[in-house]
Amino acid sequence: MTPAILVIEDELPMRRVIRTALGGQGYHVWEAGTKRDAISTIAKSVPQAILLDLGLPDGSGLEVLKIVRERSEVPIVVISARGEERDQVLALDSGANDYVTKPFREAELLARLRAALRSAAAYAAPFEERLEIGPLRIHPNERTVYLNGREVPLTPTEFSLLQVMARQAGRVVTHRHLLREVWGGSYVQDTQYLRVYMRQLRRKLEQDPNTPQLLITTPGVGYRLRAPDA
Amino acid sequence: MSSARQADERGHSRFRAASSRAYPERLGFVWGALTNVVTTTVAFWVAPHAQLAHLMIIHLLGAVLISTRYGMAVSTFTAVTGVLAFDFFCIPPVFAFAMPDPRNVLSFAGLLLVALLVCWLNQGLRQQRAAARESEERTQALCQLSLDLSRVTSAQQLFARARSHLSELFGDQAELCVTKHKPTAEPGFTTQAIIDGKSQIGYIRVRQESLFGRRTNRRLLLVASADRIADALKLLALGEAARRAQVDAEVERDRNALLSAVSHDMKTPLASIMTAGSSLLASPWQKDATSRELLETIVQESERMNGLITNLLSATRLESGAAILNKELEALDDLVFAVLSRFSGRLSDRRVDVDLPVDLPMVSIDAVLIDQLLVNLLENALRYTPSGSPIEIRGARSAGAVTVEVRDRGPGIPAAERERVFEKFYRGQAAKQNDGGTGLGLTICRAVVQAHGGAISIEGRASGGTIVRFSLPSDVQAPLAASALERRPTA
Repeated sequence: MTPAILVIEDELPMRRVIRTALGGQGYHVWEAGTKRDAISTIAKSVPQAILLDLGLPDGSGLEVLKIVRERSEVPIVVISARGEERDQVLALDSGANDYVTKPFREAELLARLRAALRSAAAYAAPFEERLEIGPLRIHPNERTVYLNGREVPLTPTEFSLLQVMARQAGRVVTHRHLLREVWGGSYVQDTQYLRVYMRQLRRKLEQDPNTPQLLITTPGVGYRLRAPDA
Repeated sequence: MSSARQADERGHSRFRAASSRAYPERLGFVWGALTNVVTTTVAFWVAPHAQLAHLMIIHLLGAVLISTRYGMAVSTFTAVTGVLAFDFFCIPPVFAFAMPDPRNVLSFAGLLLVALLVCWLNQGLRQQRAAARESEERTQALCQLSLDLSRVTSAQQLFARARSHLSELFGDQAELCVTKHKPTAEPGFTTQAIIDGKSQIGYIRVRQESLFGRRTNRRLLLVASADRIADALKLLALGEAARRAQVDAEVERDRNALLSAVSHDMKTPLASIMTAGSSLLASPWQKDATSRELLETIVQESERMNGLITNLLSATRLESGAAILNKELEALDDLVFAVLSRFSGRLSDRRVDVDLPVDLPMVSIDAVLIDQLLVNLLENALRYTPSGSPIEIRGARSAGAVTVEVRDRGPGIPAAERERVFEKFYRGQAAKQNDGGTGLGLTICRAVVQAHGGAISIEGRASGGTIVRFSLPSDVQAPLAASALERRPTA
């Protein structure tokens, strides 16, 4: 079997639409309509990436997510409805790479999928010389950051925060994840730390901190470092 | 039910039996005299063959027997008349009170003293027994009352049962009045208020004789009965409240199930339509201007419909109190900027002036709901003001709260409508001429703010335009200084 995108979605019309959208971009598509189908498909062969609807007729998509994460780091983009922010955060903290909210435009879905595939590749090679995201250039070894070619002085914490987001550029990173990575496991509740540092980072990196173009807030979920094609 | 009634009747008859065991005093004197006649007759026949001591025992027996039944007066009467009759009939010289032997005088005085002493002891015993019986009677009556009142299902039933108990205990003239007014004093009657906590629910009125007519004081029984009735009423109210809460919870559960079903069923096909439309729009096939326009209409209108469904759901959920706030400490400027970023396309021809002080304290809020609030306010400002007119967003801290204002330079809202526009489905005069609204936007805004314990209001601007102001409670003193948070990086 050639690697493909596995679409786990119980609604046939939605599955058809996604299939068409992905097919148009040259992706090969597998489909599953139930939790059981999904698990048996994954057991046969690991897909290139997974699009996962959280509401399945025979269980929660979260269960599928956990089963997949036990055996594979395959990129997973969760599909959920508005008003399910809690589930989105739960899915992200359980290992999902990103999410899209129904209803979405085709372009949004493709952008999320591309970002997930790309950052999965980036994670596979964690000791990169440098990261380039839009106008930003980050040198992890020297711990330096350049904005449009000019070096920006950052404190160690600001740098760590930016680096965690840059590694997953284009994807939403939850508050919890950022706090754990930058401050450590015992700080996961202290979101106010994050607010203060995000404000500082914006002041240093955004052209107009009042309309952020790089560090995007996703209310109730987390932050996203906007990648140029996302 | 029938077995319960039988049990009641058994209880009542037992109670009646217990209370009829009091013996009238007046009859006691007759019995005392009769006893003396019997003992004296026996002694008279026995006297020739017996000694004085034997005769005295016969007499003592009679006096003690009487004292087990009757009070001091009857016992003393029996003892004294008995001694006199003995002296007269049995002691020589017979048929005379004369007592020649002084030793006999001493014996008789001793006999009288012993008889009186025994009577006195018996009296104490009898009083104790009566007190015990009275307390048992009271306990039984109150138990029966409580048991009976605990089985009722309505207040009317409760009062009916209480009334029948009261007439059982205090006679037919006992009255139970359910009123908050103080009882009027009436000669010959005693009233006892029924009090729940601090307020009077009603009172019991009984004839004074029913309390003191018998030898036992039944004032305590009256007070305790009033207490039991108050307790039973309280219990009934609690039970009703619990039942109502249960029904409410069931209705709530049904409504939520319906809401989520509707939301899922309507939004799922809509999501497919929108994604399909946008796919067609983005596809590389050749499209003429008309089909492009039609496709854009499909996408835009399905987006709008999705917005309407979302608003409708939020309004219902917030108003029914079903929304659970997912509160976290958030910086308001962060949320405002996130909304502005999303609106950036539609704001290109406007000047948006944001003034949120850096020292604005963080607020504990549900970010998703506050986001919706900001979106709705900005949406209104965009929809009802001329394109190109500026919009201002101002933040300020006040005592225990953070206030945010969204100001525009539009036509303004007439003073008479400023409160009504928050009502569900109400649309202002200006809104009616404008398509696209549902009359839910501000309703949701108010519901969101109120769910956070804040307030929202609309004001006119002297120089033209509208100010929508909302405040959210904040107990955070000031933003943390970043230098205090700097940690050794772990990455």
